[in-house]
Amino acid sequence: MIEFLTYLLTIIGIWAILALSLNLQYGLTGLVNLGHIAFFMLGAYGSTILTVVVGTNVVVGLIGGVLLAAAFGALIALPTAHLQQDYWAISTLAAAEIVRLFFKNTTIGGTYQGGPHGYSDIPQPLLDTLGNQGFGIFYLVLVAGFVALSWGLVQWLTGMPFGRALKAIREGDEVPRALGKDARWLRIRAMALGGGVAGLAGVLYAHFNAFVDPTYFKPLETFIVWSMVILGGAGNHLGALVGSLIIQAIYNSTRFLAGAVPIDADTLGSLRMVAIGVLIILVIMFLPNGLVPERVRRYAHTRRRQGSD
Amino acid sequence: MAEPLLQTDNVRKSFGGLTALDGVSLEVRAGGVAGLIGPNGSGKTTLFNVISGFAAPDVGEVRFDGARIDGLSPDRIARRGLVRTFQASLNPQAMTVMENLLLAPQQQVGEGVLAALFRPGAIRRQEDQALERAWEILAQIKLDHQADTPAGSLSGGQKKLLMMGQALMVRPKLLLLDEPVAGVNPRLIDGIVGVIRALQSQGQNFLIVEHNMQVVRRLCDSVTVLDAGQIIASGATDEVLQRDDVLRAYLARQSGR
Ligand SMILES: Nc1ncnc2c1ncn2[C@@H]1O[C@H](COP(=O)(O)OP(=O)(O)OP(=O)(O)O)[C@@H](O)[C@H]1O
Ligand SMILES: [Mg+2]
Repeated sequence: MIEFLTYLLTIIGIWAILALSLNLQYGLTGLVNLGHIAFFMLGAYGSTILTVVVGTNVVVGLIGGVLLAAAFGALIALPTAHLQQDYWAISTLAAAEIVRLFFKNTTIGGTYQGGPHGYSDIPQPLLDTLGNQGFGIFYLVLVAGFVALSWGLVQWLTGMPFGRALKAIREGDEVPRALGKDARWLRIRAMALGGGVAGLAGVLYAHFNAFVDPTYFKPLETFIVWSMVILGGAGNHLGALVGSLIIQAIYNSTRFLAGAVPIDADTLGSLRMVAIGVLIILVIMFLPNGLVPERVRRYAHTRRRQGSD
Repeated sequence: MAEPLLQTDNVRKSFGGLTALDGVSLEVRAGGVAGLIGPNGSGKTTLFNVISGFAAPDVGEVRFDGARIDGLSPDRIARRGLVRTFQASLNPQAMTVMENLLLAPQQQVGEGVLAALFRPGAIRRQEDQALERAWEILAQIKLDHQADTPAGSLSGGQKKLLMMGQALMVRPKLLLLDEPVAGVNPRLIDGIVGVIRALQSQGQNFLIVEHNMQVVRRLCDSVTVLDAGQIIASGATDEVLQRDDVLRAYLARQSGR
């Protein structure tokens, strides 16, 4: 039971990082990125190829995976200036599938590595020293640390003038551009930063699971991240955490429900997606701002101080 | 005489078969308030769009502060010191009045991610300065009691005031205002005229599109009249507004103003 709980919390943490990064791109900047799972995949594959094929240590793998995903974010942000938002959204979906199919059809590192086989024996840091249970707890603490770091990063960016400019372009380019803001460069940076953070989640996942293959990174996974952001409350980073907790709990509920309800495991497996879908429809209908709505920064209290000095 | 601050040379712009600007050559000199008037649909907003980079001219050049600016993107033109407002409010609705104002200043250190990391002191100083200035402007446009109201909840007139307040935060070399007092109540109009006059005496340059002739008379040192995409008169405000052809162009299509 403890083992399952550490597993579940670790997975929730990894997905929370994904949700936070999408919240930076969509919640704050309004970028309808339907290919979010590609960043996760690039992080996971980047670090895996570096550690398994090239033979670097995990820290180098982590940095490489994050940078690869960030670069991809900047790249897919480039056409935003020329495409309308809805066309751009479709292009992100396509871009993510291209990334997945590229890795599915490319073997890097040997005949039985990469491609449809995926990669196994991805190094798990300190596994030998700590043993299985110790590793589980160590990794949970590690992931929790990175969740805190990611949360701090997006929260800090949101409070900066940078975040304010992102919020402004969320509602259209005219006014920000008339004031001299480079809307395109703001979008590129939002996509790169969000991409890098999502890549971090991918790195963490690869070294936790010790195995990745292209079936893990289908468009459905992007939908799961979106449901976390929408349920939690787009634009509120605490909401992204709440959303990932609830959605992952539902997603993994088959494990605790299997014995408790008279439904076989397969049906239960499909039902959880139905449950997530219904939940999202209800949220959109009755709580359009999510469980934890975006917060408005207040300034009224700064007035008297300004006036008196 | 020195080169004008802003100059358009034979600017043409058509939309399909409709010629919105038919060879417009306009000059705005530094050190005053210039007016641009004309009936509805005469091309005033289109000219603003061409000047500010939101629309490319089919033919013609735009020069500002000694350099060509046609073909540059709107944000680059704005960073060169030419800022415009919009006739209809396009401000981010979910952002509050204060956030809208604080968004406006240029060269904010905190808009760069790395700079934000390494220069928190500079950011705080800039934010404090911007905040102080924003409260002054809010008092002038009578929105100081609604600093934390989302822009989307303001009335139509208040939205115009917000947009103008935002432009005033920037203090650009030239400010283009598209109907700054349309939909604003008369008492507040006096206030706004006062604000613009005060800024002008401090050296702020304006080009203003306005239908309210009283305001044009009180504000503008010079006036250019557009009719059907062509300039039909240009010169000192008193003289231009007395000319028969101007009155005819205006009164033929606009009654009651
Ligand atoms: N994007 C566009 N597409 C097609 N036609 C346009 C476009 N923008 C302006 N026009 C046309 O160009 C002409 C000039 O419009 P413009 O908005 O410049 O007038 P205006 O002088 O600002 O009028 P008003 O005083 O009513 O604001 C109008 O006939 C208008 O219909
Ligand atoms: Mg107009």
